[in-house]
Amino acid sequence: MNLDFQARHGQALALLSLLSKEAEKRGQLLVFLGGSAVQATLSNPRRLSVDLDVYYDGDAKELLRVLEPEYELEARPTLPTELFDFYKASKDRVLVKIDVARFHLVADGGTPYEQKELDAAGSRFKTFIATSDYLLASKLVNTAVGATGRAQFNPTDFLKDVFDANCLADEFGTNLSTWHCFGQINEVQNEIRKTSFTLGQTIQAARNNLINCVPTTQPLGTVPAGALKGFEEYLLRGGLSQLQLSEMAYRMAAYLKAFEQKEEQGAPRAIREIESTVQTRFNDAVYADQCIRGLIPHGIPVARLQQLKLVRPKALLYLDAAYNSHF
Amino acid sequence: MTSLSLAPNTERMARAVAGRMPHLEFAVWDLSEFMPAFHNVRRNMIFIECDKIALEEVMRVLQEDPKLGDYLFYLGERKPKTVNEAWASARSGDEIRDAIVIIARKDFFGTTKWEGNIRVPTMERMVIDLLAYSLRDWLPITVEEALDAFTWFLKKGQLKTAYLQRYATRRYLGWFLDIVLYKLGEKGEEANRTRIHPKYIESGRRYLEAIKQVERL
Repeated sequence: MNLDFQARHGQALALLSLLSKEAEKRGQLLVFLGGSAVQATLSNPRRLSVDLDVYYDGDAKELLRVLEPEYELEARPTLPTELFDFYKASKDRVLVKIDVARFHLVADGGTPYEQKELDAAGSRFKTFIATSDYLLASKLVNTAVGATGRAQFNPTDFLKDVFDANCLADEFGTNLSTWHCFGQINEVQNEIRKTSFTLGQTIQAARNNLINCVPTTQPLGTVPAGALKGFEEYLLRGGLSQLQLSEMAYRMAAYLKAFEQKEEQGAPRAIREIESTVQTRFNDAVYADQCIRGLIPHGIPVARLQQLKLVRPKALLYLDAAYNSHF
Repeated sequence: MTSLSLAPNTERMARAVAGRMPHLEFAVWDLSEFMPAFHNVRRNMIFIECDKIALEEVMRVLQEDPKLGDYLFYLGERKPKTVNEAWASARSGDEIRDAIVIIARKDFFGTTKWEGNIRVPTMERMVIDLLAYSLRDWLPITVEEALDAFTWFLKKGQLKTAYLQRYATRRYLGWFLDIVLYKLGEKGEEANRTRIHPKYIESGRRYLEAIKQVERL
């Protein structure tokens, strides 16, 4: 774990505490979003998040004045946009980036957030935080680079998205609201970018990126070993190998396949079936061989499939579910 | 062929790996029963032998166990190297840390199925492997210590020389084993004389003579 990241993580929460109190005083809505919100939502945080992402429905410039003079505040140069405000806040040489979104979180005017009590350096404070369903959906949409996901592929950001999505799926699973939020975020992103990607195109882009972030059909994955090593500095415990990433990415790709096939209503049940199959049959050699036979026609080298069977059998089963739906 | 039972901690580790990788065949053994034969070795070593594609993942599975935090890890496709020496030394102080050696092996000749996909080597395979590692200077076990362990088990009647010879040949150590057996036979101990086939003693004598010839160069 990187001590500098730890300090920035603590500072991000301290900033959120100040901003939440100020927003409440002004009668405005501030919602905690992004990777920091994911870790704050989990009962056992698993990584450090060093940026602060919030939604604010008032004037961000006015709100952020509450940080002065304690923090040195600076607007970050970015493309002119009426939808975001980007700032840097530093104190005692610890710098935190603050991204303030001004667009609605979902297109249908829903409220995918709830009030929670969080802890910043030992003191409790109340804030609005996006629901776990919204956070999982937004993390999955982020992976759809080339559609309504992140504008550019950045291996570290991609790792954060996959990792966070898995943490949320581990603790909360998925339900109707997750997939509803996914569709809504897709609409909002299309509106912001003035694009018209269909839900199917976004799912397809995300699924392809997830499958190919590790060597699957191509000999090299899009996430290099260096990025994996660098990402380990964010982790509170353990590491992240390429095979571990395979399991996480294929799992999310399988979820998206289920969503694509069963749509909002049927996806949660199909995903429960996938999870049940993986947990009960990963040690079944006959089933693993059946998965391998089913994946060979998709152009995945047999050696790669054999490696998954031996070392990460759950990844093999998730990959099979990402290509061949059995539900 | 004789197989050792596994120490409880080794069993736990083996089951942890087997639970996560149920299709990976691997062999596991440790030095706990060798300890009475050693003079300077005070650290138990747990050996895990598996396909090279699984080396890193096996280590990760074991490192996730908080009870194994102070263990020293050796990892290697051919020559095992310490993975966390500096880290382990920094936090261990004076305590003696056990070591886990994870080595790439595909050859499971001389192992028997212990449970599920877990295999345990025969005693013969273990003593020859120990000799191999010490001769190649791969692990902190001297040739002297490895030979002490070898003779200790031989005297206890737990090793079959024909089987030892077959495995030593696979490890390119047949010549060395013959020399050892020749020297033990030469010492004239009854147990050794009766247990060692004369053909090994004869070839051991020839090998030793050849080495002496080389020494004169």
